Amino acid sequence: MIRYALVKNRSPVHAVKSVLEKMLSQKLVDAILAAARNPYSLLPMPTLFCDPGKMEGIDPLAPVAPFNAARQAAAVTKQPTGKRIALVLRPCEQRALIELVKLKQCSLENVILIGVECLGRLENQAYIQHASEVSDFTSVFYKNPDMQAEVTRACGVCEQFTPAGVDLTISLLGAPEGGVGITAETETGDTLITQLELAVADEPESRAAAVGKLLQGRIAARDALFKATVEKINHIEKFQELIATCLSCHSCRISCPVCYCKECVFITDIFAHPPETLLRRAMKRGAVKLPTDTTMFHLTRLAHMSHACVGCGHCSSVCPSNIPVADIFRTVAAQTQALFDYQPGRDISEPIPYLVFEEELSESSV
Amino acid sequence: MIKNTKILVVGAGISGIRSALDLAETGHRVCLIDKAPAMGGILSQLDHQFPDNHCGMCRMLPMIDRDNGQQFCLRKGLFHENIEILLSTEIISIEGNAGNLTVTISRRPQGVDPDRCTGCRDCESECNIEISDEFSAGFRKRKAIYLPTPHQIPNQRVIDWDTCSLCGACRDACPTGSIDLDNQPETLVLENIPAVIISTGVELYDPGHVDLYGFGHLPNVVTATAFERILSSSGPYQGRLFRPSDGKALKKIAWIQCVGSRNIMIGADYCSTACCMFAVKEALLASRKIGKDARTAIFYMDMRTFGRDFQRYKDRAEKDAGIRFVRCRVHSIEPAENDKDILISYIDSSGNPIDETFDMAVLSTGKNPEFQLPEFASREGVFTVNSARGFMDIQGAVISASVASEKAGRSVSKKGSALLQQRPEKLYFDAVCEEKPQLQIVLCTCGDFLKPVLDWDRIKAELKNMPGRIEIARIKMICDQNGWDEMIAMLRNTTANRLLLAACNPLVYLPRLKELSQETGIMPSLMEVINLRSMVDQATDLAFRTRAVLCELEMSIRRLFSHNPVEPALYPVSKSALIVGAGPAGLTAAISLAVRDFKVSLVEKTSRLGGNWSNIQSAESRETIRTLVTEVENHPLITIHSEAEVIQSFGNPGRFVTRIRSNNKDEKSLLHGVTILATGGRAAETTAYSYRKNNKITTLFELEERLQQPDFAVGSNATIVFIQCVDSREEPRNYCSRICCLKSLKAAITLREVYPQSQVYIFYRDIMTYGNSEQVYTQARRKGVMFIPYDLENKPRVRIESGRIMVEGSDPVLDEPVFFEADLVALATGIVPNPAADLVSIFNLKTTCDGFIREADSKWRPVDTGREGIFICGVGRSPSRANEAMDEGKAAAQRALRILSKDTMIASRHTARVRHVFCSLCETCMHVCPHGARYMDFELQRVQVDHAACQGCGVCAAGCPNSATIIESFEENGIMGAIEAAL
Amino acid sequence: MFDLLVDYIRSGRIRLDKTKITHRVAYHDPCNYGRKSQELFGHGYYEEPRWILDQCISDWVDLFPAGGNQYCCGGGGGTLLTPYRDERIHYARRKMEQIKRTGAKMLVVPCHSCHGQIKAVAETYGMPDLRVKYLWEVVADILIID
Repeated sequence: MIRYALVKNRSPVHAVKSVLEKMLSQKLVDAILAAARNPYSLLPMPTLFCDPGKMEGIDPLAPVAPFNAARQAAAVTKQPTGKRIALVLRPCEQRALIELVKLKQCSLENVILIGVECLGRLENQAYIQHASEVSDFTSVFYKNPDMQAEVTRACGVCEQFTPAGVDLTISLLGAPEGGVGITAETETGDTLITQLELAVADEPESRAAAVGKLLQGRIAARDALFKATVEKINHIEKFQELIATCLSCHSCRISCPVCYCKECVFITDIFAHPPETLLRRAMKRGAVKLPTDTTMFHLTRLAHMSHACVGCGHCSSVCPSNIPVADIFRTVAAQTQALFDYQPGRDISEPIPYLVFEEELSESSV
Repeated sequence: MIKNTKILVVGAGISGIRSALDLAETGHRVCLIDKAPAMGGILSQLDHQFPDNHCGMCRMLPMIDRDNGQQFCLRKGLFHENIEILLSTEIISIEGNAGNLTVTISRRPQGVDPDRCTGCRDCESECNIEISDEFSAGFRKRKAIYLPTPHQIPNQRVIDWDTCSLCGACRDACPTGSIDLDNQPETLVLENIPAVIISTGVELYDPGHVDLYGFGHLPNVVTATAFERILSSSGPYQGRLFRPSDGKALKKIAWIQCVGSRNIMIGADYCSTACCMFAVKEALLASRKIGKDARTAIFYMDMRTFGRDFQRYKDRAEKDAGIRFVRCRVHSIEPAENDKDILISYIDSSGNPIDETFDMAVLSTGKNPEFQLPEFASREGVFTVNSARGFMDIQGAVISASVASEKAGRSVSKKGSALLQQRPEKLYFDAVCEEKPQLQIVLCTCGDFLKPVLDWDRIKAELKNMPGRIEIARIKMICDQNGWDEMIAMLRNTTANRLLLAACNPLVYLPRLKELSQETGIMPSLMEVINLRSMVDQATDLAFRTRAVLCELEMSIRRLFSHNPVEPALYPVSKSALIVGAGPAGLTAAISLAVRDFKVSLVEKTSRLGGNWSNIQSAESRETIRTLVTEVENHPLITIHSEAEVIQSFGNPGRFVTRIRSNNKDEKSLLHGVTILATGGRAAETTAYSYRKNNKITTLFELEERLQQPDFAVGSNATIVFIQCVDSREEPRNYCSRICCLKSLKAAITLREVYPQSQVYIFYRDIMTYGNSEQVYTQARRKGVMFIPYDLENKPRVRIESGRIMVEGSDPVLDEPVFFEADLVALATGIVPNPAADLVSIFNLKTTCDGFIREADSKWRPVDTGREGIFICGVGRSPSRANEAMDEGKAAAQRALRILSKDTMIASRHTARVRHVFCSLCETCMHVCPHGARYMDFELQRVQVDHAACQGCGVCAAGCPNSATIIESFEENGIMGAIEAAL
Repeated sequence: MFDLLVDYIRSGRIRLDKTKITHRVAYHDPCNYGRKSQELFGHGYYEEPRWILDQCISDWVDLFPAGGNQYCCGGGGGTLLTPYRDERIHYARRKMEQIKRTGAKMLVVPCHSCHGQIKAVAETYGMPDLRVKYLWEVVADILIID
């Protein structure tokens, strides 16, 4: 049963901070992972808190993510430790985490998932710029639609901004000034609301409309992006053009939360061609561009993980050649996922498509 | 001991192949002969088997120790180190005593040298003689020099001396001089043969004898074998369904069952067992090919769906493909008005005579009643497979073959037996791993043939540019003894550790390469052969040909250089077996293994041995089981754990550890090499037909028991009613229990004999007396037992009125209701498997929806489970008669022997390997492995491969995103290099 | 009678003119001399009449099926004497089909029952011009008498 609680404070950030502090001080959890600024940096980083007193810089609502925190969340939950941990994550991070659970890279045993309703993030540098000019930039951002329009393109087409499959949701849409909504989505979440003695209320009437409006806009933007991107990649020649300046730096892979291989095959001996091989290639064709296998890398990555792409957009954010990796991946992923009627992170019990064997289908016609 | 002698297996059909492989896999040397010029028997002509409508014969290939043979399609050929195959060879006589036989064989030369024939077909073009081709069931013509089975390998031609005119045109045309017209058969005397297995199969009935069906007279009446050829993509119409007379597309087809069987007039008082099911299969396949216009009908007397999955297959075929089943034995087939269609007249179920035209009729022929086994089949020391006595289905043939090989192997093995030990390739490894890779390329110019058709200069120049250390040599003719010797001498002198042969067809196959490896010291896995000749034949101009050849050469070069063989994993084998279940099947398996000096732990849930002994009525079987129990109880190598259960098991083939708990709570761990499950079954309960409401209504099993009692009596005018298929062959228990018809018939015969005035009725749906048990059915009819067929819509009803039992039903032949007051009603309820859910989860196996433990493949691996090293036999797998269950026990023991007979198991060359440094432990490979060949080693936190179970299929490597798991000898570098070379 | 004819022809006691009958002739194995004879006496007369016909006629054909599987004409067992005329005529339907298929103008039947039956029903089945002869009749017809 879904319960909505309203927490009011000086600002939404303070509201969230108070809830999280209480969770630790009341020992409802042993540790909390949440984005927080630290003395060295304005840019909030995923931080693992055990002492509520240290939560000064905590700001999970900040419209920025230096990288997709699912990786770090997986590191903390790789094996059950016996401790109860709360993870405060954006929807794309949390969905990526679910996919990593399916790949046995981490476990949700004794983990509480707190999802943050996310309106999008700005690129790191843009955020730093704003945050250095404006204090409590987070609160300002949430009141300023123009600034909200500056979020990354990947965020601008994201229709999954409301978390699902979490224990608690922190939401701003529809919440009154200075308040955040805390919604319990599961029994666990419900218990927490009770234990935290949060003020239960009716969901604000304006919330549904606000969510609906945002959703509509995002879906429209998404479909427009798909259309435009398909035009750019529907032929191998066009695709090659689009990725022509790829350096094979692998930043996109490293930043991708669902690309989970311990060591990517493209940096192993299999693709470390000896000089004879490179020369042979050049001899046969006359000339060969280095590094080799760039197209192969992207196509392979699409084949391996497009079913799990959560559209977080970090791949585009980190690309030094400004290749619209996220656009490509989201567009292709939409088709791959539709093929199997699969959505990453939707349901932890939903098996990964390539692990499903259907016997009836294997009876081929004569 | 007799080192170099071979066990002789006569007949290279599926039973022969199975027996030969059984023996070869357990270290015996085998000589497999067949009088035909190609092997494969009947099955080589059949493309599709139910239930999955694929072929599947390759599933009989060895799954461990695969390097001893080649993993080619078994319909094409059999290659195993321990098996020598002699074709066009027949036995003339067998003399001598068991264990030391002297066999005289006559071998007709094939006329063509297999080592030289390249398959170019020039000889066929020159031959003037054209005759009907047997393989195509007469649909095609062939020459006197021909390829007996189109897909056989090696594909060398053979001369049919009976039609050859010895004109010599073929010999003159052959470019490699492979033809020799000396057609004198060679007589060979083989001495010291330790055993002979007769697996000659049965001759199929030729329906031309019964010209009532118009076979041979009407072109649109064909045999089932011929129809299978029509269905085949390599058949006369490339798999499209046309009919012989005018090529019209088939829509309406009739199958006539029991042609040449179940016909007392021609001395065929037997059922040919497999025809019902293959007719259903053919009708289903035909329907699928034809589409919605298909109209298929099967004319039958009893639809013998006695196998576990058969009834459901038939139901699906009826429902999905709309096959009509018409219960009527057709008297004759006449041509229809238009002279092309055929006319069948029959009586339908309401008694109306119907004349129906069809496009074609298929005659389901079984065993030829005049067929007889040769007299030497009954000698001591000669073991005849049951599939050579009567026409059996594939499962029966495969099991009976293993029974024969078990018996033969048993008779041959003594202590310290002559079993060959494997020679591991260890001796090569140390050398090769240390050395730098160096490749020797040998190009055969095929005499002068290849000289003008390839640009040799260009080839030489390009090869110089290939990466890696390469030496090139040209030999004129490798197939020539001089050329061969020259090549071997050169290879011995070179420092090359890899070899690429560019030659022709015959070299592609294992035997010569193994020979080459032994002579030169180069590992077989580092040798590749490409078929230069066939590439040359396919291309048109010089430049194109040369490019194609260079491409292939480069592909092989890349692969050879990237392959670095690792030492194969070795596993010790525990020489003991765990058998769960001490019923007839389990007891038989236990003895089979114990007499071969293997320790057996026999775990039995109850306190007695013998299983369903009390329900088994056949005196012969009872005696056999009684003897078995005594043998087992007294055998020093068998440890009986009664009132015990298995609670845990893990491990890999050759080394399983299982924990058992006895009733008194003692627990014990057992180390064993193999597991055989024989969990058995029990009589099914019922609440139908007012059972239990009156003690005159019993189950069939109870009636049998009562009949044994000395005080059994019914009135001399008694009316006894049997009702068959109670709760069976309909959902939810939609399978035939296989034993009830025979039991009811025997009980009915006994009753009629003891009480000649009694009325005995049997209500039945189909009488499942397959094989020779058909004679019991004939006998029952002769004894005056009355049979009333019923179907699911009109079941008989049993009412109790003031203590009197009223049975009501309807007789479709009389087309009237029938009504009896019965003194005794016997309900044939069938068998259900014993609950095995816990065992199934402990051993990680699968069950069918009815709770039977599922075998790996119901036809080709009937006593294996999906997990290597674990076998299943008896009623726990599928309902079976007592003698069949015991046969399965022997077959399971035989399968187990291929693991137990080794001291160590060596991983095959092609198995998966994990590079742990890359592995993310996502377990995708474990999830997708179809053979259960991977497991998590929790201590080491690693994914490990069970090399005995791993078949090298590659699904794991395909699923692993970063190639943390690879397949030996199919390394990524090599494959990608080959692909690149091909582009 | 078969044996007698065979003997006469073989020994040359009678001589035959094979060219006399030019149209197509079909042969019918009667139940009496085929299956019944086989059952009662262990010998069915299938080969003998065919040999005889070979000596007599150039274009004679077997019906299909033939020999031991020959269709019964339906007129034996005394049915010709019973009042069940319609039934008897119905019994002959398969036989007449057989004959029609060969396109023969004449049918040779060594048996009196078959002869009577087929002659009687031929008109009903649309074959009024079908000639029905005994085997000895045929032999007699083509005797060379000098």
